[in-house]
Amino acid sequence: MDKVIEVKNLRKVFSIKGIKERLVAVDNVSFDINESETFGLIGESGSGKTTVGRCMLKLIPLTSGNLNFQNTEYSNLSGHQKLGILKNMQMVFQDPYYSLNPRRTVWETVDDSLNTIKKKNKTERRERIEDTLSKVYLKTESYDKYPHQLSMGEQQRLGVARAIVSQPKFIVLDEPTSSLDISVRGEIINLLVKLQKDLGITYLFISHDLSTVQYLCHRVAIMYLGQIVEIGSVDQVFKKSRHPYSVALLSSVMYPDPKIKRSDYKLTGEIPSPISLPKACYLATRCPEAEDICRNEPPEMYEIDDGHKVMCHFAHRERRFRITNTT
Amino acid sequence: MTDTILNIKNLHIHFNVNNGSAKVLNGIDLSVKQGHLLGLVGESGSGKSVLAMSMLAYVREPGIIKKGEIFFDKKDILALTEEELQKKYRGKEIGLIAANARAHLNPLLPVGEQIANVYSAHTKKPKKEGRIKAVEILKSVGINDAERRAESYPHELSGGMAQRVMIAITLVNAPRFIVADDCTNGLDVTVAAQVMDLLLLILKERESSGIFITHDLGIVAQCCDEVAIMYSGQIFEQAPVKDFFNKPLHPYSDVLLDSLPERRKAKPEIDTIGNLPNPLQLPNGCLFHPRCPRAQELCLREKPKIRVISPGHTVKCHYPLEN
Repeated sequence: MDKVIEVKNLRKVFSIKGIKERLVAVDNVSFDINESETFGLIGESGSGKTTVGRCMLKLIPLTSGNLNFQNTEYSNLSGHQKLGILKNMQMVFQDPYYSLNPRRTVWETVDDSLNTIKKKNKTERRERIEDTLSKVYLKTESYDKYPHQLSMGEQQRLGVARAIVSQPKFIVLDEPTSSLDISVRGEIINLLVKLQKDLGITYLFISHDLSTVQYLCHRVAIMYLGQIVEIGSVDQVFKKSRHPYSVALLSSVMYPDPKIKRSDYKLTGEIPSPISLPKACYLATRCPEAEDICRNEPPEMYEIDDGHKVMCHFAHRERRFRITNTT
Repeated sequence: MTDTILNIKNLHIHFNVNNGSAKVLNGIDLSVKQGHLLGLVGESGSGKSVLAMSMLAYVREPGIIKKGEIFFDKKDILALTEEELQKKYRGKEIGLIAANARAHLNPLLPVGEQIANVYSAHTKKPKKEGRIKAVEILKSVGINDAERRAESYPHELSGGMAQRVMIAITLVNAPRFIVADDCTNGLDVTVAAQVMDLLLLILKERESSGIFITHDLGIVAQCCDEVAIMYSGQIFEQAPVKDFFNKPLHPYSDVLLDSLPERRKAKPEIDTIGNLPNPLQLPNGCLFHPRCPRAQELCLREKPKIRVISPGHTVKCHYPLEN
């Protein structure tokens, strides 16, 4: 399979006004995404996952690292060359209501998005917009509506329409279902799956909603305080987790099934401040298995299986995080 | 036979607004047994928060209670005076934990003082004792370094900590009944798990009862004894948690469960199921019929009454799923 996106040693550091300490939001992150694949980036607040997505679309500048799109390095490009690469990428945001222009109708919103690519003639343009809106099941009656006149589901579908109308190869989905009611989430998830099947789009799915990630993604990476702690296929990371943070995270999920109980594997204490990170392993202050080596030597990425990597001194240890698994 | 601690009967609450009367609660029938935790599930706009407030008998203009009774421990709390409610019930017998803790905490007072104030208000004990009690309860809600944290202002706390402070404020007077309105909204997965574990521990220790209002079926499955499904100001189904997840009876319950990734049957097409009906213009007959895949002629004409299908499992539907 072809690699659409390659992220190599991405690092993003923010300066904070008034203090000399800097915030390392993303620390040496590397991963690849294959064509028509959905790659999940999982983490809690402060993990750096949203920053990774923004760096990949050059919405914010990198501090260091490389970004490749179909074998072309684009992190250092500017002007026309940069736009030439970026026109293949789009983003769907978390809160549709706040990311849509309240003064543009459904039609106009999608039309505006077409302005980023070569201008087409009027008929082609109209046909493209109609085709896109029908792909997201937004009917003719809604074309003249403003975002506040749409339901949550319709708003988010409009967000998706705006992203796909320019036929991008790669879309970053930044928590696209987090603000939505549960019955509406299903609608959006189904739509995303269908579009990927029909149009072959590659997705980066950023989320803390583990159930949706498990359902939608082929491969995932779990982030903690700016680092990737575990990466692999969905099966490997969800069912054969090796990193204590992954296990604790997955143990926290409350499954909507009373027969599946959570395990007791827990982290202690509070998350350290990102402006004063621990030396060596970042999880050492909270990890139930931390030993001296964890507090003194930074762990490396160990490949424990084909494509399954874990950043932990004790990656070889197996951990069970579910007592009753009825799947 | 466990006693019922809270019993809401046929509650109707309307809001008088400029262009009419918004019918937010349309005949709520809900009961919670002593020592039980009930999960109340509903989408945005279903009336959950209005119902939560009504359990504290807190309905303010332009809201009006049109009909119905709320029995707490067999007493109709809607018949009490405001003074009695404020002195004896709110915060003392029944406590409310809201979501978005920071929005509800006083930004100008240290959190320890806020807890102490609530304690003193109900116990009439001196402030000094209130401050000691505050530190105690902060410790019990899992806040390390409680003495120092008691002096923090809400904006200095993380989301999870602020939520735990809210819980502390509600629990300091040991109410027998808790209404938790979406109290883990916006919290990270691990923090939400910590908060829920803590809350459950305290409630079980004190044998308190409660209602968790949520749209998260995971919380319902893992933390609650019973579940009630709310739609457009009505309770469509109430059941023990195991029965509900095993065999839901109402078509709307099926829609909710089916929207979960874990339970979804592989369906690539869109199920455009639309929105809740406009409370200013509710449909005739069953409120769900415009969206119901099983709606028939009777559903358009007549509102369904409650049916008991099995012990503890009730449904408001003319054609429930089992039959």
